[in-house]
Amino acid sequence: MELYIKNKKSAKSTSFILLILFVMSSLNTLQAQSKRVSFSGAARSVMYYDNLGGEIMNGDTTSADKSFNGYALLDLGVNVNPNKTTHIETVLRLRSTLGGFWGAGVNLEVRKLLVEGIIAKKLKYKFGDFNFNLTPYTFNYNQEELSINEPGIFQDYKEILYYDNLISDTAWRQQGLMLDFGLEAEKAFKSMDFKAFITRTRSANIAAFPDRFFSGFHWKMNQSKYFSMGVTLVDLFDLAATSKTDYKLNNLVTTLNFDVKYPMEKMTVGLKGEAGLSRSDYTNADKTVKNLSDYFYDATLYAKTDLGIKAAVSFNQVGVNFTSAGSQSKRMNWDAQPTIFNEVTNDVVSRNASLIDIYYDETLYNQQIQQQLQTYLPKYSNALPYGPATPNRRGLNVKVDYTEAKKEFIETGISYSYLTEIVGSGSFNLKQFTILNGYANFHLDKLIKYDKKLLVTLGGQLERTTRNGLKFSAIQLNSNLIEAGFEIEIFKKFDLLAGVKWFMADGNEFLEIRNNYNELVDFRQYNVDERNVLYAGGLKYRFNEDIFVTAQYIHNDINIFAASTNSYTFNRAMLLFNMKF
Amino acid sequence: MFCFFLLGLFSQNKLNETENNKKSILKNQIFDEIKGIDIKFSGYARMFVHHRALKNFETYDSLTNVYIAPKKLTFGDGNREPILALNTNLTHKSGISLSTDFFIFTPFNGSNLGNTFSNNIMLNLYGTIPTTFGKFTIKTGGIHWYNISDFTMSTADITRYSVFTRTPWEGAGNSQEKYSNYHKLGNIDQNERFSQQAFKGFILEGADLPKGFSFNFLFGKNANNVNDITVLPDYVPNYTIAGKVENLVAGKHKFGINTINSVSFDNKNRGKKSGFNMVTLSHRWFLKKLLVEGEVGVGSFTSPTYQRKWDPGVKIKFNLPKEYTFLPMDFQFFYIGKNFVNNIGAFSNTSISQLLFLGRSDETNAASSNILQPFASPIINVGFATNNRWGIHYNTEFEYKALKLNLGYSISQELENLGSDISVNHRINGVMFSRLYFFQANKGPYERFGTFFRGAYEIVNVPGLDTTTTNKSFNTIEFQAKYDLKINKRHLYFFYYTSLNSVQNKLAAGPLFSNKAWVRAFYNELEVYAEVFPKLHLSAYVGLEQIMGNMETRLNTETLKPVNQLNYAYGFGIDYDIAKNAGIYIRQRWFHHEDKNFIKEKLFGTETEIELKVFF
Repeated sequence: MELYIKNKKSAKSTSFILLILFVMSSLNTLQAQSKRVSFSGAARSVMYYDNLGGEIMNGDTTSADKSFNGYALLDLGVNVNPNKTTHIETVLRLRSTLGGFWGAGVNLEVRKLLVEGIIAKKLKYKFGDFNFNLTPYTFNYNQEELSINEPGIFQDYKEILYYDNLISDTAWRQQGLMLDFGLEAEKAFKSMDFKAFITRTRSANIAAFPDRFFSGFHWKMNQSKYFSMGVTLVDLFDLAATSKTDYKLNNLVTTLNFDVKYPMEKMTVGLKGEAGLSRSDYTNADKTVKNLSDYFYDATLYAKTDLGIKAAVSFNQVGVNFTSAGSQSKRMNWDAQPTIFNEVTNDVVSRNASLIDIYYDETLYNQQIQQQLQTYLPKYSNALPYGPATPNRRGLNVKVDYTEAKKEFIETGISYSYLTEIVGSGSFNLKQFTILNGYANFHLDKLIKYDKKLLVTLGGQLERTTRNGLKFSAIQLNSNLIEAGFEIEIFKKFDLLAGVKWFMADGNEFLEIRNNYNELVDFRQYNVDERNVLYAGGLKYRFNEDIFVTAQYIHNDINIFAASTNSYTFNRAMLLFNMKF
Repeated sequence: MFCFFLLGLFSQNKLNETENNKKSILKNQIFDEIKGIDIKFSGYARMFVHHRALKNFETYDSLTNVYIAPKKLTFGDGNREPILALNTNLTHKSGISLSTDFFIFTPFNGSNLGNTFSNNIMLNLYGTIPTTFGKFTIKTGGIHWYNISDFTMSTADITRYSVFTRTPWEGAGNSQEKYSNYHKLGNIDQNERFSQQAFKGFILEGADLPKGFSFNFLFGKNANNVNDITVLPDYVPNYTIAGKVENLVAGKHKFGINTINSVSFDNKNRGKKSGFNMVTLSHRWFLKKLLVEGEVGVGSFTSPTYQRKWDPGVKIKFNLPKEYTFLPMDFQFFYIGKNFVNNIGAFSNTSISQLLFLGRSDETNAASSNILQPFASPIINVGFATNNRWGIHYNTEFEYKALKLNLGYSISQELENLGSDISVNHRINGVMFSRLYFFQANKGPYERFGTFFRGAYEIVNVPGLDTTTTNKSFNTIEFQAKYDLKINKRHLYFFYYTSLNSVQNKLAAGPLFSNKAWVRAFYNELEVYAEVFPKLHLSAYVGLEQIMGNMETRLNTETLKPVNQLNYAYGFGIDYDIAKNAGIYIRQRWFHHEDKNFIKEKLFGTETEIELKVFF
């Protein structure tokens, strides 16, 4: 259903857009007559000048060492309420590159097309593009790596990356149909919600693969203020006979979740959890069938006090063959190449994504549910590379958050996880993982009575992986992340920003090589010894919360200690004008 | 079990739709209300049909091997102009706004193939920051039409022009106003692209600053900062940094410091830098009613094969009101060194050919690239300037009732003779030629012909020219007469224009009419516009152009004679104003181009234009 138009390339789509544009102009009149039509959207203009330097460029006579790029874009949202129970929404994107003059370098696409409404005052429907999520083990867009407490200077562009990749918190953008129905009762329960959906995650390639759909059902009951529960069923499946191939997938996940809580005068305590089963059936090209099934459970004991303290202790186990594509797909696509300086050295070697790419390159993000467990980089995340639903994990997590209630000048928290494998991978010895992370936001303006914003943010994470064993099977991998941000409002709405992300990793691991059925088939030696530091400083003027202009200088220093000739620096000067309206 | 459980629950309760469900549609609407946004659509529809019929076209293209059909019917004239231009303007109460224009075109070829939906020119974001010490404006995206000063970023004013052939950006439904304005003011409705330069990137402006100061700062690309991606990736830096600080004194005098700096690289890896730099001081001040304005500065060009040298550029203009001299007049003097170059200033570059190849890796790689502008010593209109030249321009006008006469005089001379080529504009049939070859150089049977946007030029070579001792000298006289003959309250306009030009080996008081001049170019145009009814105008046009070289210019090897061209055209037109914002316009034109001595250069035919234009 996606419509994508390039100049003179799609006549049918062009006709469609022409129609939309004509309608838009006539809607202008309609708008004056009523509020049936409204407009909104976003716009952005960005320019960046990049430079690649350092040892990796010594002797390099072929790779690009500087780059000047930019673009301007407009996302125009058109919203139509033809009647009280129907809403139609479309977002059209117009993008023009900096170097394109007289119509060159222009791109047009439809980013969103949605019709939603209520049938017979009871059944709500959505048809088209919409974002949603379910539970952490069924359908959840996991947070990317290296993000604990983002310094404000990095948040601005990260929001843009999320927006461009259609990311809304942990919700996935899907295309399809969703039905929603709700009930209220006076006895036995307070309310119930039913959801059913089917979306298409991939269209067939006649020679290579069939259509793929993601469907599901979710039921949730709020029995009382003490108890709620839900049942979720999701299925990622291929539709047979939509291509020549006999390969077919069916990945079914069924879970039950609950939340029991006991509110008291100054405190609430509770227990919540989720447990379920997964089954994956792979029909191979030669019609042989492979089945994988497993289970998981997750229980959390939590408490919340009026003093601003939240605490939780949880225990979970995810089976080695637990497969849930909707919750195990990664946000970062580590197989993708960075857009800028993607090749280095005279041997035309692909450059791996660094911190600056993670924060400023929108093409590294994955927008599609992936059946196969994706590539992950142990240095960035080895304990839970696929989020809470990472298979072959068992462990404990303790977490405490505190917000100072009176002046609200500090928010802080700490979390500790200890996990182990359930089944050894390539060894009888199990890997052991520990993650310690924490954050703190100091609103110094409230402490020293500065009448404008003055904020210091800190974040950090230590992750360890160990495995005992002989020299060739022992593992010792350490990675450390420290984040610090500083924001001060110098004049009204005019901020000075600075931030740093300091990452260091060293040690060894074995990369897991999986086949098409997510089975471990091999390992590859993985060694790392690097320091990756991202600094940024800049100025920002806020027209309002959603509209700002900023000038930033970003420096990324990548030191590969094991092979110092591969070390490099990546510098960027950036001007950004961002609007949401 | 689960279903029974649910059924059991339902049977015990009076079920209601949840409140959430009742209101969910409205609650979930992100765009339920217009949140401070004001959006407006405007634009125009322009249905333009162009028909051209050529005679003896086979001969004309024999050398360049380009086939041009003898007859051609097109929607649009081949240049990039929309059939529907849809402008969108959004403004927000927080002080930001956004403008963009959509380009919609269909070639009317019987299918959907070739339909185009795109961005026409601009996608501009604006933000204004009011402060107690001034107002700051940010402009990003592009294209922004912009000028800084004549030398740094601007284009030359266009006056004494034909209004017979309609331009794509002209209004509709206001024919009487158009001809009346041209009669009264001598101006034509020029599009922004002819008065300012296109710029994409980031612009910061500061206005209303203390002590009458203001400034602007630009960082981005102008239309010449575009890499030729066949030889150089588009990400290889090629950009402009420019700006101005200006001071307004006593509410009317202005002094400004201006700069422009263009940088490009010839390789993606350790590319060597090329570009130009310029710093100027501009001024505009009054001595009682005498207006003195001008600009003075230094500029340079550098590249791996061109050593940087700085040269001065000076331009000063005196505007004398008729209270002082009986007739209003202006004098302009300019002196621009050969290293004082710019590709977006209000003067032509005639000295450094590398300037044409910035962003094209190097000159060798660019040899096959199209040269979009003449690179030779050009014959210039009164008021225009080129580098590597000094000159004087003089303008005056006389008015008696409905008769308006104006006269322009120009004398200029090269500072250094850098080549043996002279370029001459084809004024009478230039638009027609530009539709034969779009943005091409070295075309025509003798490969000496080039085109630019709605114009064409010819290169005349002087092979025996001693470039070490002889500097080319140029003379131009322009005369224009405009008269509005009212008959029964209806207007009948006569516009006559003549331009006499010569290029020779020494200074002369005026254009030479003898063979002592290497090149002579004479242009004559007469236009008549008759208001038949308030909504109906009829028009007629006659134009004559002669370009003649002497025996020192390159001779035809067959006839052993120099260039001797005769261009003429005549035509008629109908303007019918359907409404205040709509009109239909017809133009029929017969054209003739012939060189008596370069005998393959002969082309004649007709052009028909039918245009329906509606603004909304």
